[in-house]
Formats: sequence, structure tokens, C-alpha cells
Amino acid sequence: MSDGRYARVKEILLAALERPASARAAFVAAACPGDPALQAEVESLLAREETPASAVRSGALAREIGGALRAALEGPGPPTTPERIGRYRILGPLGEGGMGEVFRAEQSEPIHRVVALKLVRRGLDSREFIRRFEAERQILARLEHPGIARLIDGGLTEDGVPWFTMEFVDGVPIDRYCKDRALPVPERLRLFRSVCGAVQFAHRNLIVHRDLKPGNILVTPDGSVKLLDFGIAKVLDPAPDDVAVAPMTRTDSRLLTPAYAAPEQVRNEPVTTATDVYSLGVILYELLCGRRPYTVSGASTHDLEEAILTAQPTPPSAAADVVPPRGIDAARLRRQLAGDLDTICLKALRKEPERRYASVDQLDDDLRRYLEGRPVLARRDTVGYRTAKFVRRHRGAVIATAAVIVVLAGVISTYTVRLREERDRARSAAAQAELEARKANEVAAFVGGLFEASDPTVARGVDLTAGEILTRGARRVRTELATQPEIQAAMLQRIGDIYVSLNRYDDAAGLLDEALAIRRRLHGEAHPDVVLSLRSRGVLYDETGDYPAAESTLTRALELSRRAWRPTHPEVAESMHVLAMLHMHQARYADAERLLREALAIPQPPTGPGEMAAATLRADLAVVLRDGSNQYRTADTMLTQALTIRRRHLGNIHPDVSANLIDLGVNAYWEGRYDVAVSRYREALEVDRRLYGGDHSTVAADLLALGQALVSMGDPVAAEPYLRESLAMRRRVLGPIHRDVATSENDLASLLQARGDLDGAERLYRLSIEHYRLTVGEDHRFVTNGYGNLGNLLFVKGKAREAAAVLREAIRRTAADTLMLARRMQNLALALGTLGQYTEAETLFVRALRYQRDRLPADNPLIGTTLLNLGNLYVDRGRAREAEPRLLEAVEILRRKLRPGHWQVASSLSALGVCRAAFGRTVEAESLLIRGLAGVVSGGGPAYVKTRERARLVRFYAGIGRRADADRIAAGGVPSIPNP
Amino acid sequence: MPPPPRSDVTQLLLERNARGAGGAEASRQLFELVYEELRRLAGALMRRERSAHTLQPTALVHEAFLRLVGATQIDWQDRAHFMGISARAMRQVLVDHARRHAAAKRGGGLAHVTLTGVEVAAPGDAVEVLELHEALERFAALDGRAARVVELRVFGGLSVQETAQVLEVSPRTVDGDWAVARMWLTRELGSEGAS
Repeated sequence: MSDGRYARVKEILLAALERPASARAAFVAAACPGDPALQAEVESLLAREETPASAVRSGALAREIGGALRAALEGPGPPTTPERIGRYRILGPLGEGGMGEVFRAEQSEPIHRVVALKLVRRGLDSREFIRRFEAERQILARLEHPGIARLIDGGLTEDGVPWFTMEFVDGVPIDRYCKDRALPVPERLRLFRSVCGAVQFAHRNLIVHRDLKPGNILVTPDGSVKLLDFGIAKVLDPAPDDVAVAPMTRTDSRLLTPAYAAPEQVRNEPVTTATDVYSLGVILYELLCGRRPYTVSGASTHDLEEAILTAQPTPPSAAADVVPPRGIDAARLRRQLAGDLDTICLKALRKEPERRYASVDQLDDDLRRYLEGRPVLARRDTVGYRTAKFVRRHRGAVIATAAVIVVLAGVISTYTVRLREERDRARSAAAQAELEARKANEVAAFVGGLFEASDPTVARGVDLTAGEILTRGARRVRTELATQPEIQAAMLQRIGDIYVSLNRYDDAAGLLDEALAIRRRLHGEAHPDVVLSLRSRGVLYDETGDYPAAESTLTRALELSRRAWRPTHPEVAESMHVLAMLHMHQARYADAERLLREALAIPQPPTGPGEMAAATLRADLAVVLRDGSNQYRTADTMLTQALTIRRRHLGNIHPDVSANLIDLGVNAYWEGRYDVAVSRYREALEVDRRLYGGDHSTVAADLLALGQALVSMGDPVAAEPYLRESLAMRRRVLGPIHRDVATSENDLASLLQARGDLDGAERLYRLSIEHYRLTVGEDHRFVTNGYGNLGNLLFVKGKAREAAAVLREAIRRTAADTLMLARRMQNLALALGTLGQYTEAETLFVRALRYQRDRLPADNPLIGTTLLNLGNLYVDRGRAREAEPRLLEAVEILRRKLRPGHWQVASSLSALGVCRAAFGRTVEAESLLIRGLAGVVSGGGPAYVKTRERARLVRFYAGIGRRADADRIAAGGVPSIPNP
Repeated sequence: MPPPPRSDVTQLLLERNARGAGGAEASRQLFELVYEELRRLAGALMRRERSAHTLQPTALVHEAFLRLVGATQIDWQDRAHFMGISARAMRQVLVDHARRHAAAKRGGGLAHVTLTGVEVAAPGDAVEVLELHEALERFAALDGRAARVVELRVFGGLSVQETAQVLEVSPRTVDGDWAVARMWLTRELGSEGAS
């Protein structure tokens, strides 16, 4: 864009911003007459304009210093109603709330709108307010939900009085709305459920309201609910964040409305999402029976707090006596509430946060069940049930944390399984019950403690990352569980496993070693726990590529397994399984196959878990057979068998089913049956979309695989949306720096390369390599892959020398005897060919070809590509006799295996044309060369290929004296395809 | 390394007002002092928080201001100029840091900037420093002043008023530049990164 052009764009943009949003489109269109490009540019920029966020953070320091100084000198100024606050003009009072006055105010710049402005007339440290506001504002601004009034802006007035503005809502408090309209109970429940939806949304964003009450829940005339003041209570909380130094009583200055406060708030303890569940319980109670749970004579705050802490609330059915909805008598209402609704309310109102509904979702869910006439879940309240729910409560927390939580949920289930085993050994039922209760409680308390730390109301200022939670967790495990080495080791072990899944291998190694050492000390060698630790450690060695260490560790684990369990125990099979996986990574396929078959030979009960474990072994054996000895058919059969077993046990919609489909797809992919691969990936994607809903790492992985297969099929256009969706999803789910993001970047880069956007591709490849380095480390094979891809791209861009250097590095790091090595040798050979190093290039092609022929079906398209490359080299060296048979074979394979019209086929034709010309068969030669050039142009071949085929045709015409045709083609003409 | 005595910085701020070479030299020294201090603060932060790579540049600039200038009485304009220099220095610190780590063999902490209040990327996303830096360079080629507005506000935490003072334009102009820059950068950084 030229400078003049940009100036014009800016001018139109600024003028457009002056206008109301609704009038902008028309204005822009009018401002760009006859210039659609200009209009498109302006519109694409304007599309990024959103309601401007506040400017509160800018210059905050100035205000902070100013405000604090003033506050120190003068104390809070006298309450006056200013005409303007910030950029808002006060229109009139809206009311007075617990925290101060509320005004209707008007904003004129940059857009015109009416807002609600609250002045906080409380003994607040204005510096502290700004600090908190700064910390919270961004988070709160993210809360965009139709049921939540948006926070707009905030600051200090000239007098240092904190204020903030939010979306103006024209509505009445929910309790009044219900009363005025005499809504029947189901209507009330529906309304309440939309409140739950909004609160749950905020909880997923790690924001706790802390001050839910009917006055903060407005219902608009059209019947939709809007929650006010989300998160504001935290900003206004006069107590320091750090609970440890907070004075234990702050009742006097508390801004909360005591009637809706939860016991933990009264006790001044950390609040969590469970606090909102409690307040919702009070509101629900009130909406149902017209009263609050605790009736206290007089208005003493102290008595009310006492009741909140100690009194058992009356069930709403027993309290329903005041103003039943019109048309319903009190007795009928009592009957309606008795039972499920009583249970639901009382569960939400439990004193102990962990005994309430574990999430607003669950409360909501139970109400739905009630409305649908299904049994509610509130009644079940066992330790195991609560524990699981407790973990689930946090599932939606932060995305980064979510992964950890899911895995940590595994802590519990692992325990459950292990406890069951211990139960088998336990001497007496009583001892066993006691053991179970103790362990389950400790694990639950521990896991719960971790998440308290991740709660935004406890964590200070920043969201805790998953890693931090784990670091804290590990620290707590070391100190608090020191007297219980067995549990300590189990937790260290699990946290280590989670670190592995987060790719924090160094941290993981330390913890796993620690767990192993503790267990060895406790149990000696041949003990199940020791074996499990060894196995984790060995798998980690495997993952980080330290194969010798992995082998000795996993071999030892297998030996010990045979002593720790009976030789036919499923765990023995599992130890064989992990060792087999190592061998697979080492490309020791024969060893892997032997172990997997041995594991499969251990008789398992033909049904249930045994059959499922066998399905897993079978699926892995299939992969070994595929990669080790190209037994695609056998692999396909075994994977199909595994799929059948899994579907029978698990139904169609299950992660193992989709994983199995992916394996089948990979198998087809390597076999070169890209269309089959595509359809299997599509199936897997469908399953996973139904399993996981929107954004999920597994869905992203499916999208990626599908995109890759489409690219390989030669259909980059179809592939692009999948690859882009995959990358965008991964960035959202995993954050910008993550191994899997790097993978998506890599694959999108390869697509851009296929589409001819070489600069974009190079940028993404480099980004991907960088992200791999940062996540899996320099030495990982993913980084090597990146070099391989980048090298290939540099070659396509015409930077042969640089390409050769990068590819040599990639080859140096590539394991011998792999198909990948063949591919890279080939790419290096291409670069060397361009650089005139023909001898080495030929050697490399021949080696790659031999290797591919050994390992792949004869008609694999990779072989076709290598034949084409080798043929081209011979053609360019004038060795037409050697070139021709190879090119013929290439055409044969590529035609059958690639999408019709793929440029590689055309390129082979062109090279064949050169051969035929050399044999003096001019007519055939012309036809082939023309079809070749036309084909690489229409088939989207890389630029260097187009240039090469064009040059070949030009040379051909020049050689037979047809100068005019030569010039025409040289000038860029595209030949029309003659009849063959 | 302890921070330089506060008086130095105040003195340099005063000298900066001098015309000619003396002023330029003072500005350069000031930049170096601020750069060093910011680098030190950022470094300490990164060492403390090895896993949380979120720096809040404006907080650092403010901290540097408090350490280097403190409660000394300096006039409003000098403060604005100090912040202007800090914004550039902060940007430099972050870019250098990001480059160093990008070059490091094994990643330890790529700095992410949380663009306080500036939704340059998808809300909540941290934008990679280098990405923002490069986008800003590209944008500067189109609209130097607006790019500087972004630098001042994002890396320096300056208000519209202060930005207007540093750039000697009206606050209204700053608002306009800011709005356009935000749209442009959002488009640039919000894409798939494949542009």
C-alpha cells in the first residue's frame, strides 16, 4: 500500500468512527466510489473495531499518585454529585446500592451510549482500588455473555473516589419480577436457570461473582436476565488479597449483603465458585418460597451471621407460607417444593463448600432434571461421588489448567482402582473400609487444595498456569505428606506423569525419580508400586529419546513385573506393552512384534477390560506390522478387529473409537490410499466433535490429520479450512507456544507451500521450529522434521545452497533406516542437482529409491515421486535412455495415486517429452512437452517446476528451428493442449 | 547492580531540555540508564517466575520510574518525556529478551507481553513480543506517528494526554491514531500468522 493510499484509508476510517456504528457501512461505501479495493481495505480494518475498552490503565500511575496523595492529605472528599466523571456526563440517579450511588450517565466519545455509573463511597484506599481494578479489568472485560452486564470503564474522580461504569440495563430485580408477574414455579426455575448459565460462564473464565443477590440480577422487559457487578466485589474488597495477613475480622467494613453471604465469607475465608453456588441457593430458596433460609428476629447482622454459620435452614417446602404465586395455594406449593426442590436448595446451601453442588452447572443440571421429571442427582452424597464431582467442578476453569485437571481426575480414579486391589488383600472389611476412606479423603483434600490455589480469588493478580499449580502441588506433597510416604510417592508420581503430558520433561524426571526412590525404600524392588514408577520413568526416557536408559529401565520393570505379580497378570502384559512401544520407536520392529505377541498370548478374560486391553495390544501390533514390515493389509485387519471390539464395548462415540479410526486412517495414508485416509479421518473427526463439542485438542488433531491427508491427495483447497481451524483451535486451547501448535503451524506451512505462498510458508516453518525448540528441546526429532521441511521449502524458493545446508543438518539428525531419511535424502539431492553436484545427487536418489522400494508397496506415490526426480536428473544430464523407463513408471504410479491433474504427473510427461525428443520422436515429444507445461501450470506446481518445464519446451522448439513458437512460449505463453 | 542514583536521572531530564548536542547526549544517556534498569527488573522477574512468561511492561516502566525518579519533584512534562523514553527502552528490552531466548538452545522463557487493556490479539491472548514488534515496524512504515502512539501507550503505559504531550499533538489526534493503529494491528496479529 502506498503512503497516499494509506492516508486515504485512515482518513475514511477516522471519519467512519465519528459515525454511529449502524451508519458506518453506508458511509464507507459512499466514501469509496468505484474503488472496491479501498472499500475492502477500510472494511476489513473497521471489522476489528470493537467497542473501545476503557482507557483506565493508561496513566494509571499518575492517577494513583495523585489520588493517593490527595487521600493522604485530605481523606475522602465530601460526597457531591459531579456533573461529569471521566468522559461520562451524569444524567440522573439510578439508586443507591450497598457500595455507593448509581447514576445513569452518558458517554459521547468515541461512541454515544448510556451507561450505569457507580460511585464507591466507601472507606477504600483509592490506590488499592486502582491496583485491583487494573488487575481485574482485563479479566472482566473478557466476560462477554448476553446474561452479564459488561464492565466498561473505571477510575478515580478528581476527589479520589473510585467509580466504574457498566452496561446500562433496563430491568427489575429478579425477585420483584417473579412476584409482580406471579410466575408459577416452573417459570421461576427457568428464569433462574438462565442466571445459572451466566454465572457458569463467568466461572469458566475463573471469575467468581462473590456478591450474588436479587438486586444484582435484573430481568429486562423481554424476560432475559442480566447480572450486574460481576467481579466487582473482589475489586472493592477492602481486605488485602493475601489471606495470611488479613485481619480475621472485617465484618464492619464488608461490602457484602450478609443475607446472601456464604459461611466461608462470613468466616472471612477464601471464596471459590462454591461461594456463588451458595448465594444462588439462597436466591433460589427465596424465589421458590418467598423467604430467605434464615429467619432472624431483629436486624442484627451478628445473629444473621451466627445463623449462616450454624443453623440448619428450614426446607423451602416448610417455609412456603408467605406469598405463594397467584392461583396456587400454600399447600399445593408445599407439595410442589417438597422432595426434589427441597433437596436441591439444601444441597446448594450446605455449610461446607465441598458438600455443595460442585459447580453451578450441576445445580443447573439438577433443575433441568427436575423440570424434565427425571431423578435429580442431589441425593447421592458419598465420598467417592463427592470427590469426583469436586474435581469436575474445576474442569472448566482455565483452559491451560483444564488438561491438568482432567489428568488429576485420574488421580482419583487410579486410587479407586488401586484401592479395589488393596481391598482384595485387606484382611478385614473394617480395616479396608477405613483405609479407603482415609486415602480417598487425603487425595480429595489434596487435589482440592491445589485448585483452591488456582482460584482467582486466592491467586494474586495472575492466573496460575497449570505448571504453577503442579509446582505448588509438588511442594505441598513434599512437606505435607512427608509422614505418609506411600501417598506422597503416589502423588509425586502422578504429578510427574502430568508434567510429562505438559512436555516439562526435566520437572517430570525429578519427581518420578523421587517417587521411585521413596517406593524402593518402602517396598524393596519387586513391588507393584516400584514397577509402576519404573515404567513411568522408562516411558519418559523413551519420550525424550534417551533410548538406552529407557531400555534398561523398562527391561528391569518387566523383570520385576514377573515377580511382583503372577506371570499372567495384566500388568505384566502392560510392562511388555510399554517395552514394545520403546522398541517400536527404536525401529526394532521385530522385538516390538515379539513382545506384543507375547503380551497378547497371556490369556485374558475374553470379555470386559481384558478384551479391551487385548484390543489395545492388537492395535499397537498393527502399527508395528505396518511400520516394520509394510503389512498394511494385516494391520488394517487388526485395526478393524480392534475397532469392532471397542465399538462393542464403548459404543460409537468414544475416544478410543476415534483413536482407532485415526490409526486406520494413518494406515491407509501410508499405504497411499489417501481417499480412504480422508474418510476415516472424517469419521474420527465426527466422533470427536460429538465427544468434545467445540474447542478441544483432540478435535484439533483430527482436523490436522484430515487436512494433511487432503494435502497429500493433492487438494490443498479442501485442506486449508481444516488446517486453519486446527491451528486456530490449538492456539486457543493450548496457548501460542505449545508443541501441538508448532505441529499445526508446520502443517499449515506445508499447505501454504503447496499453494505457492512460499514466504508465508517459510515464516510459519521457522515459527514452528522455534516453538518446537521451546517446547520439546533442540534435540527432539520434531525439530529435525522442521529442518527437513524448511530445507525443502528453501529449495523450492530457489535458495538451493541454504536448503542443502539445512537438509544436511536434518539428515545428520535423522535415524538411519527410516522413510523420513529417504525423503530428506531426496530433497537434498534435488538441491544438489540445482547446484550442479550431480554425482552426489544421483547417489542419494538411488539410495532413497532402493530404501523406499524395500519398505513400501510398489505403487506408493512416494516411489513415483522419487522416480520422477531421478528421471529428471537423468534428463538434465542427457541420459535419456536411463531416464525413460523410470519416468514411465513414475507416470504410471502417480496417475493412479494422485488426484487427476496433479502437477507431478504433468512434470513426468514433460521429462518424458525430452527423452522422446532425444530419440528423434518429435511429434510425441511436442505433445508431451506441451501437456507437461500446461499441466504444471494448471496443476499448481512449484515455480521452479513451471520454469523448468517451460524452458524444456522452449529448448525443444529452438532445437527444431521453430523460433516463433520458442519465443511465444519463452514470453510466458501457455500452450493449448493438442489432441494426443 | 544497584540502580543509578536518582539525582542522575533527574539531572539528565533537566539537561534533556538543553538545546543541541547536550540535549541529545542527555537523552541517549537517559535511554541507556532506563534500558539497564528495565532490563534488570525484567530479568529479576523472569528469574523469579520461570514458568509464567507474562510481563506487564507498563508495570515495569512504572517501577523503573519509581526507582529512578522516585518522589523527586519533576514537572509533568519531564515525567511524560521520561515515560516516552521508557516506552522505547521497554520495547527494546522485551525484543532483546525475546531474541536472546529465541536464539537460546533450549527454551526457558519466551517473553509474552500482556498488552494491558489493548486487545491486539484475541482477548486474553498474549501476543508474542517479536510478533508485535515486527508488526509495529511494518505499521511504522505506513504511519510512523500512530506506531509511536502504540509504543508509548502499550510499552510505556502513557495516557492519551501524556502521549499527546510527548508527541506534541492534540489528544484528539492521539485518539484517532490509537483507534486506527489498534484496528490495523488487530488485523495483522489476529490473522493465522500466515500472512
